[in-house]
Amino acid sequence: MFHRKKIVWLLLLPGLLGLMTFYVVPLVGGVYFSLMDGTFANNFVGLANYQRVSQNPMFQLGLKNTWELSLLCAPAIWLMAFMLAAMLKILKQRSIPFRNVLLLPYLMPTSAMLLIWTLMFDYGGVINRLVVQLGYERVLWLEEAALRVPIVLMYIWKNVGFSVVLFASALEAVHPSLYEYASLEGAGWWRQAFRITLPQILPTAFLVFVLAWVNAFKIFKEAYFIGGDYPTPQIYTLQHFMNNKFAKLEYQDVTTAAYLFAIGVMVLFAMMYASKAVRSPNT
Amino acid sequence: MLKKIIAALLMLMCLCASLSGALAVDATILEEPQDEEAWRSVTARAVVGDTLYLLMNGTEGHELFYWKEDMPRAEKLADNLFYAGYYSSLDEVESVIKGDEKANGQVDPQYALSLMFSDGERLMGMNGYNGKIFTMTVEGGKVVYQDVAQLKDTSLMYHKSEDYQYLLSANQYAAAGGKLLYLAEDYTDEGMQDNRLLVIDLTTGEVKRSKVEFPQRVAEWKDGKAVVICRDEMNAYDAEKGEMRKATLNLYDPAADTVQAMGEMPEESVPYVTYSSALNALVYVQNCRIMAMVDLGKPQQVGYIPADWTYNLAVVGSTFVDCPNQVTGRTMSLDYKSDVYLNVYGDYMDSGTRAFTSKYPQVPVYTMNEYYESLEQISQAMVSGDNTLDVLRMNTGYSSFFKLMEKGYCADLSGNKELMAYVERMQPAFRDAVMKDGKLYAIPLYAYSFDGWYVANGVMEDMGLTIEDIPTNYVELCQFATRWNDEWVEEYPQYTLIEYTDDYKAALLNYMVEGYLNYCTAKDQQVRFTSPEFRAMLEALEAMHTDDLTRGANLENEDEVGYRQGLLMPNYTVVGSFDTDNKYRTFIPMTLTPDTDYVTGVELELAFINPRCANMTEAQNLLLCKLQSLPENNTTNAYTIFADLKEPVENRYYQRNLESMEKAMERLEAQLAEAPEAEKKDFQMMIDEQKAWNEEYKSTERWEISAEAIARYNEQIVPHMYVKKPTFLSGTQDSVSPELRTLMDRYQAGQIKLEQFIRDADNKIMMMQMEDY
Repeated sequence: MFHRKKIVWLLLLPGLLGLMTFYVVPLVGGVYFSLMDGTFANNFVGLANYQRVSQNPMFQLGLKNTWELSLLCAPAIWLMAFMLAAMLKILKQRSIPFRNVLLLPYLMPTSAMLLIWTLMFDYGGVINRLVVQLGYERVLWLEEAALRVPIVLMYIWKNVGFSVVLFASALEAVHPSLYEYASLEGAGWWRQAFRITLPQILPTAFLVFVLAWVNAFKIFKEAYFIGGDYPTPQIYTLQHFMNNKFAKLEYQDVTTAAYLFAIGVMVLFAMMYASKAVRSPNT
Repeated sequence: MLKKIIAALLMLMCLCASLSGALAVDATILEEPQDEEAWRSVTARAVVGDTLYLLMNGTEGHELFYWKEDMPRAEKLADNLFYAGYYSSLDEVESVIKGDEKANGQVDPQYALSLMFSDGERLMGMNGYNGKIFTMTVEGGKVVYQDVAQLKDTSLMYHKSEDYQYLLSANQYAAAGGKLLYLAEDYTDEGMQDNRLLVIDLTTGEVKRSKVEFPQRVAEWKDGKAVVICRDEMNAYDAEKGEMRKATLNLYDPAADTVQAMGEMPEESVPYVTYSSALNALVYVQNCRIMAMVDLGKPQQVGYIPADWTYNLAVVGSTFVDCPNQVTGRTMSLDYKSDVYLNVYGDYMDSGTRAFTSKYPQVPVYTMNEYYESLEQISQAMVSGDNTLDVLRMNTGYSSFFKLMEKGYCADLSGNKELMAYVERMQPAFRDAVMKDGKLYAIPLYAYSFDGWYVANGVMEDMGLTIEDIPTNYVELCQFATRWNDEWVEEYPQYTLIEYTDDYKAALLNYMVEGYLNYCTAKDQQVRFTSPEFRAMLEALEAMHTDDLTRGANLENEDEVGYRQGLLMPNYTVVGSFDTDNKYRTFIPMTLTPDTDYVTGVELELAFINPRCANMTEAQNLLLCKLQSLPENNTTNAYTIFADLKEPVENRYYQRNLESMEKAMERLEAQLAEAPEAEKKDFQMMIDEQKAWNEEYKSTERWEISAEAIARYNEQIVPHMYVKKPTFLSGTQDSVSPELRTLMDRYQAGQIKLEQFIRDADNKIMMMQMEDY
């Protein structure tokens, strides 16, 4: 047994080395930077950076916006992906082209997509023409609070396909006899979806939820492309704060902000994992 | 024991003897003339065996010098020569020689040199006008010319246009296999480069154009061949990659007229090259490094020379010779290594650096070619790698200097008493910019400001205005512009309000925003676009109308846009020149509003040392040399920077020029006295003109820096100076120019109203400032 374990570790070594080099070492290094003053001399300042950054109004704004955007995007992606996957399951073999179409936005380069979306949501773009047709006034979609709408919509559109694929795979594992029985008992589509399907695929559903939320925290490219380093306050995210600080050589603020955020995220997911329903779906 | 001591002493003596014969790290082979009035430059050079021949031209006329490695200095050989490049014909050469008091009667125009060269064994010359090729030997202090061959056809050596022609000078030349390779640099009338490599048979005089395409450089090689570096300069830039294409290295056989490609040159630039038989290498200079490509292989550094680039170079034995006005030699060695050197970023071989290299010849100073766009790139370059930056030169207005200083990337120079003493003498604004908490972190080297407003006196008088009528703040300027638009466009069609300005709204918006940002920097106050000052300016801008002023008086034909002289001239020098106020213009201290103070932002070029610099003493000495050279080499700048320089400086050429002008006057008066009646009127007119010039010269040119200018600078400018930092509209990555500029563009285009512009701009500025909270 020891011999077999030795081989296992040997096989894992390249991956572990990579993990160490690109994750563990930077993680520890980041902690180090967050405890220093960030000057050439690198003086130790303890938790002073944490105190200062947490009180910084722009950090607080970025954090708030990041949470709000992720709260908008993650559940929406999860729900839409689940429903689309359920619909695709009904189509069975005929669902393959639809699945591919749903996955296409995920594969497209973000910058190319952003160009098209900014044209669409421009003051004179096709969306505003639709709005005018409906009898309303044009909206400055790329300004102020309204900018959240195209950013959230584009983010959902781009990322829902990947979640659909995950859900679709999980749905394949659900035995059809359960649905036959439910149909015989008079359960409609909605009841089947939430009373049979969802409990059966709960671990995958949780995974999709976690991935959706983690990815939603990283909404930045879209806001940066449209708004630059200092966009409207409503889409100024934590990544903007860290990006701008990095450009000013304020590495201590970058790492401090990242770790403050990471602590919050870890607490959240720890609470989620603590839920019994997630750990053992059959109880 | 005694024998051993004697042997050791003998060895030591031999070593000293060999060292004294060999060139030291730096040797000046031929100095520049000490007399300010005198000058001398190298016109041509050639190496014959172990001897370097230099053809000099200067106040003493054309002279031939020679030098060998065991000589401390070059010595004069002869002076009956004449260099005749760029003329159109032999007749013109003869005429020039006749008019040259030193050459006339001494030099036979038939042997005027359009090229001096060596075929490896003999010193030779060529007269491209009559086609003579001859040897040159020296007997009794005179050059003796001996014909060798006659060029059969010189047409290939001339640039010919419809109206004129002239002899093309040899960009470079080389002798290989009994042939002279003459690289003539030419351009077509359409401006396309048309270099040609000519092959001249030194025996028969035959001239042929080689098949080499786009030759840029040529040097002799071994086995009768030559190295030719080629690049199509018209298509040298690779737009896809965003970089210059490298030149190709080729071996050319003049006997067979064949070209063998040998790869690419290692650098993007195309340096001048020469051959070293001692090293079996192609030698060139790149950023003060003497590089050698042994057997045309990978380049390696073999020496150092304080020159970013050199075009007049030669190799004698193992000595590299640089031949600008002052000829210097540097020993080359394949084992070259220097543990003590300085890498300098953002700087160049100015007088201060040259003074340092003269004083400390054993310390190479390398100017870095790279350009770092962002703060991170510079900081990375300062901390990583073996070739880190030692001394950096930056401009405070367009760089991240203050951030680097704040982050501790500038070495503390307070311990150097000499540097501190210099900085203590500087204007307070400059001194305060480079000191923090009583410590010195950088040295100001150059100061200037281009945000000055002036009024054109001639235009003002012509329009019947006085200096009191001229607006002195942006609010009044907008009102004045409206008045001009309504009242003066038709009356003064030849004038406009602000020179080189078409769109007044856009221009004034830019001045206002930039001015406001600078004002806040100067007053160290938070930038708020909701402030009363900014709002007052923008409201005045909104109320301004300048449609007619923009179009001009020629309203019928809008396509005709002629130059209209401006009443007001912005963006002129305020700091850095003592010739600001004169009879043509008057300085206007333009403020934001009637209630704000006048401020002028000075861009300071300064140098600082990387705390990681391994040669701190040498780096500080470099800065010291730069400061010490300031008063002599840039008097205006020295007076700008140092507060204790108050004595006026006379124009060093004033007396000489005045004397020659007065002599000219005397000659005219003498000619007037002897002139026939019919011509007296013309001579009198010339005398009156000359008199006016003389008076004008006396009143304006006596002082390089006058007492009035010094007083004006100290009273009007110094109290209002502040050192510019990158604003939100300019600078490097510290700025947010795209966002703010976009807002300004949208406001100008009418896409957003004033209130929204103020609100959005203020939001952006607040966000930027709160991030640094």
